[in-house]
Amino acid sequence: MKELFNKKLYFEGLRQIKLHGFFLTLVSILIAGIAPFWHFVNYMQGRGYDQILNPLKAQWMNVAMMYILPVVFGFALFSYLMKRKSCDFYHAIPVKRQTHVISFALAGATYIVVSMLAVNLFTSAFLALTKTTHFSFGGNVLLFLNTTAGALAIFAAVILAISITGQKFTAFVISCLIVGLPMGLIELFRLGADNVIYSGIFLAENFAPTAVFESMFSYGMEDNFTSLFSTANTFIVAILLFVIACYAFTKRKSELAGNSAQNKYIQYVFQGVIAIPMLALAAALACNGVSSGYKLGTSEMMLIGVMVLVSLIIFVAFEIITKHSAKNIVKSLPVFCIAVAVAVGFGGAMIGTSYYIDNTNIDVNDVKYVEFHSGSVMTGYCPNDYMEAIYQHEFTDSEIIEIVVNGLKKPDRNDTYQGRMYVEIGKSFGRSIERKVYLTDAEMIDVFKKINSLTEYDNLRIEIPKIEDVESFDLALRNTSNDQAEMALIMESFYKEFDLLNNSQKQELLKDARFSSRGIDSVVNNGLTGNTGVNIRTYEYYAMSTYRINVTPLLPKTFDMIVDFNNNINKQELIVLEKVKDGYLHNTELRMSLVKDNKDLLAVGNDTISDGNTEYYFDNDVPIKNVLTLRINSEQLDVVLEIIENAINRHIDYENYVDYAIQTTLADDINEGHRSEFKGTATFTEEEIATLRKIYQDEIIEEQK
Amino acid sequence: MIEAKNLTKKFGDFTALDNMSCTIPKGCIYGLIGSNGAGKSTFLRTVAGIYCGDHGTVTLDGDAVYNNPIAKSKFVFVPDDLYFLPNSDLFRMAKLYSSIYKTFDYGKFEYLYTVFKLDPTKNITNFSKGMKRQCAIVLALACQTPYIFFDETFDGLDVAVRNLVKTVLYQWVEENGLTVVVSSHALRELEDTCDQLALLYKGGIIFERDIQNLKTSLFKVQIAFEKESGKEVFDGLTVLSYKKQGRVLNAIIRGDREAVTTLLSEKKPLLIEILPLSLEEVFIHEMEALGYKYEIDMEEII
Repeated sequence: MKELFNKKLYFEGLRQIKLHGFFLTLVSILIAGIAPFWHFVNYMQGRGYDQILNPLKAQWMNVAMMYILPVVFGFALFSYLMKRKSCDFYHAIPVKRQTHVISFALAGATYIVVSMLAVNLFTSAFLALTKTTHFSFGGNVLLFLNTTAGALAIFAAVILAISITGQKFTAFVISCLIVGLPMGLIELFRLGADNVIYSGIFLAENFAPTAVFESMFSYGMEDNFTSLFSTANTFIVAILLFVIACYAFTKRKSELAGNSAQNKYIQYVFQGVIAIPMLALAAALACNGVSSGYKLGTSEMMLIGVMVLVSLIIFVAFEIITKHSAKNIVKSLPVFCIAVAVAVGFGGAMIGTSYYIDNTNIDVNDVKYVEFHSGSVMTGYCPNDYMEAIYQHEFTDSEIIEIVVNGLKKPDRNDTYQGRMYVEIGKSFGRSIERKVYLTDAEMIDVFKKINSLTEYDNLRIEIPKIEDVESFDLALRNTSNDQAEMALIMESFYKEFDLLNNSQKQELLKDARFSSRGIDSVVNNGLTGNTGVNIRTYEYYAMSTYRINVTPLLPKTFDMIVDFNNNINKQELIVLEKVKDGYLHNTELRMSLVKDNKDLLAVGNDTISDGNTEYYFDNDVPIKNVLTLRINSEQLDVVLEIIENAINRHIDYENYVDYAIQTTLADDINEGHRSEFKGTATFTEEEIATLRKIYQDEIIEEQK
Repeated sequence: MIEAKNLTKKFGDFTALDNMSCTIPKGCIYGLIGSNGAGKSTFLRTVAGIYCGDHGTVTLDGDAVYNNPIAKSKFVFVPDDLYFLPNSDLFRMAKLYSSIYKTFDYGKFEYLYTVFKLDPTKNITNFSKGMKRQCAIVLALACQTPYIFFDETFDGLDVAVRNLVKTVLYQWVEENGLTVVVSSHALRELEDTCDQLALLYKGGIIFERDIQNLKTSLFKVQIAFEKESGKEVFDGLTVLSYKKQGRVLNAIIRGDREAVTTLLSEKKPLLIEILPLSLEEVFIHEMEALGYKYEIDMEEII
C-alpha cells in the first residue's frame, strides 16, 4: 500500500488544483443557488408552494459538474504528460508511476467529491432552511452518489485518454469516446434494430455520464440519476476504467509527449474510431428503415450520404489538427474505408438481429403470461390515468396473450399501427423474453376491453396507499386548510369509510380518480378533480405518488366533513367580498371556474372579468388611478358579486352537490402580489349560471370589438 | 557509479543511442559533448529513467533506474527545457521538490538562492532564461542527492554565473561527493568545469578521457634540423598528425612531454619547441586520429 500511495504526492496534487477546485466550487455554488433561490422567490410571491421538488431540479448543477470537474481536474493534474519538459520532470522523480497516478488521481477524486458535496450541501441547506418546498433529501443523496460516481468515471476516462495520447486535443476527443461510444453504439443498435428490446446493464441510462443523453430519447431523466443500480454500475465502470488507466499510465512512453499517438498505427486507430459514431448513426438510420419494413426515400438516402461525408470530414480534420499536416491524408484513407466497413458490419448485425427476432416463432400455447412495460404507447385506449396500474402485472388471459403474440408475427412495423407496446412474454418453461409489439386500432381496443373486464384488473384499480404510507393528505379545494389536526380527522374518516366499501363501490369511487407515480411538481395542480376531492400523496426517495380521489356520498361522513369545511371557509371569506362591494379594495381580479359533475367546463374561469368598482382609489387622500383597464362596469360587477354572495350563503350540501359549482378566486391589489384574498367553491342555480355566462360573453364580444 | 551497457534507443526509424556503453565513476564531473542529435539528451533521459532503453542496461550503483524509486532518489535531472509549476516562485518549487525528495535541505536551499542572488518570492515565469537555469540549479543542489544530471543547463550562462556555478559545484563535489553529469553541444561550455569528457557521435561514445590527462598528453612539437629530414625523426613516438614546412617539422604527439623532449633533443635539432594545445585542438586531432573529419562531423561542437 505504501508503494501505491504517496501522501506527500497526494497533498502536492491537492495543492496543484486548489485554485481550480476553489474557483469551480465557488462558481458552481453560485450557479447552483439559482434553482433554489428561484423557487424561494416563487414561494414568496405565492407561486409554486406545496410542491415536491425533485432533487434533479434543485441539483442540476451536480449534473453539469459531473462533466466539468473531471475534465478540468484530470487535465490540470495529468496534462504534464503532454509536454516534454514537464513529462521529463515527473518521470525522473523517485516515484513509481503507479504511485504517481494513484496519488494524483486520489487528489483529483477528493476535489471532485468535495466540490460536488459542497454544491449539494449548499443547495440542500438552502432548501431546508427556507422550507419553501417538500424536498426529498433521500433522493438528493442518491443523486449526489450517482453524479459523483459519474464524475469519477469520466475522471478515470480522462486519465486513461491522457495516458494513451500525447496531445490535449486527442486526449479530450478520446475521453469523450471512452465515455460515450460503447453506450452510444448500444443505443444506436436499439435505434437500428427497432424490434430489439434490451434492458441489460449496458444501457445509457445505467451509466450516469450517458444517462442524460438517453433521456433525450425517453421519458424520466430524473429516474436515471437517482437509480441505485445506475450508481453501482457507474461506480464499477469508474473503477475498471481507473485500473486500465493505471496500467496505461505505467506503460506509457515518455516520448509520446507532444505527439498525438505512440505510433502511426495507433493514430490510424484513433482516426478510425473517431469516424465511427457518425458512420454508425448513418448505419442505424439505414437499418431502422430496413428493419421497419419500408424503403428508404431520397431524402433519407441523402441524409445518410451527408453523414458519411461528415464522418470523412471529421476523419480528415482529426489528422490535420493532430499532425499539423495534411501530407498523410491519402495514405490514411484506407483506414476510413475500414471504418466504413465496420459501420456496415454494425448495420448488418442490426438487420441480422432484427431478422432473427422477427423470424423466431412463439407458440401461443407456450406463453404463460404477458406483462406490459412502461414506454408502451397506449394513448387513447386507457380509460383513465389509473391504467398505469397495468404495468408490471402478469396477464394470463388467453385472449390477451393471443392478440399480443399474433402481433409479433407482423412483418412490418410502420405508422399504420396505433399502439406500440413493450411486452415481456413469459414462456411456460420459465424463460421470459421482451419484445416490441405493434397492434392495430382494433387489436388495441380488444386488448383494453379485455383488460377492463378482468377481475384481476379491477383489483388493481381499487388499491390506494396504505394509511401509514401517506405523507400528505389535503383537500382538492382552491382553499385548503393548513390545520393538520383537521386534515388528520378527515383522512382517518376517509380510510375508515373506504375500507368498509365493497369492491364495486371502491371501483365506482375510483373510476375518475387520477394517479401519477411521477413525483414531479407539474402533476400537482394539473386540473380540478371536484368540489370534494382529496389528494393523497406518498413520497419515496424522490418520487411522489399522487392520488386524486373524489369523495362522494359513498363516504357520507367524510363527504359531510369536507362540505362543512368548505362552507366554513366560504363564510370567513365573505368578509373579503364585503370589502369589494364597499369599494375598499382596488385593482381587483376575479377568477371563476365553472365545474359540472367534477369536470372543469372552462366557462367563466381563468379570465379577469373585473377590475374594482371605482376608477380611482385613495391612498392617504391621494387619488390613484386603477392600473387595470376596467373590463366590466360597476353595475355588472355588482350583479356578479351578488350572485357569488348568494351562492356562498347557500352552502354546498348533498342535494346541490351535483349542480353547477363555481370555484372562485377573488384577489385584490394584484400588483402587490395579493392573489388569494378569497377562494371558495359554491353551487349556483341555472339562472345564476346563465347570468354569469351572459356577462362573460358580453365581455368577450366587447374585447373582440 | 553509473554504468551503461550496450544501450540502444530508437525513435521510429531513428536510432538515438546505438549500442552505447560507458562508465561514470563517483565523485566526478562528467561532461558529454556532442552535436545536435548525437544522443546526449537521450542518454541522460535514459539514465534518468525517463526513457526505457530498447536494448541494453543502465544501472546506478548497481540498480536499474527505470521506474525504480530507490535508484531515482539518488539523482536529480535538470533537463534542457526547464519545468516550473505555472505561476510559481522558488518557495513553491522548493515545496514541490521537498515533497518528492526526502533529502531536500531547506538550509542549503536558502544558502544557494542567497549565493545566486535570486528572489525566492518572485514569479519564476518573469525570470530571464539564465535566472531560470540558476533556479533549476539551486533546486537540484538543494535536493542533496549524490548524483545530478544537467542537460545543457550551463549553455548560455554568462561568465560570472558560470564561474559561480562552477565554484558551487566544486564545493558540493568536495563536501558531499556529488557526481555530476553534464551535457553540452559546445566544448567551451564544459572545458573548464569537467573532470572527464566523453564525445558522443551518432548515438555512440567516440572516446572518453580524463580532461587533465587529455590536455597534457597531447602536444605540438616544432622541430628543425640542419640537414633535410622527414617523418622518421618521430619514429618511436605516437604521432597524430604531421606536417612539414620548409625545414620545420610540425607534429602532434601523444605521450609524456618530458620523455618526448629528451628523446628529440638527443637528435640535436637546430630548433625544438613543445607547444601546448587548446582543448579544441586536442579534440580535433583525437577525432582525426579516429578517422573523423573535423570540418564535417565536429564543427558544431567546437
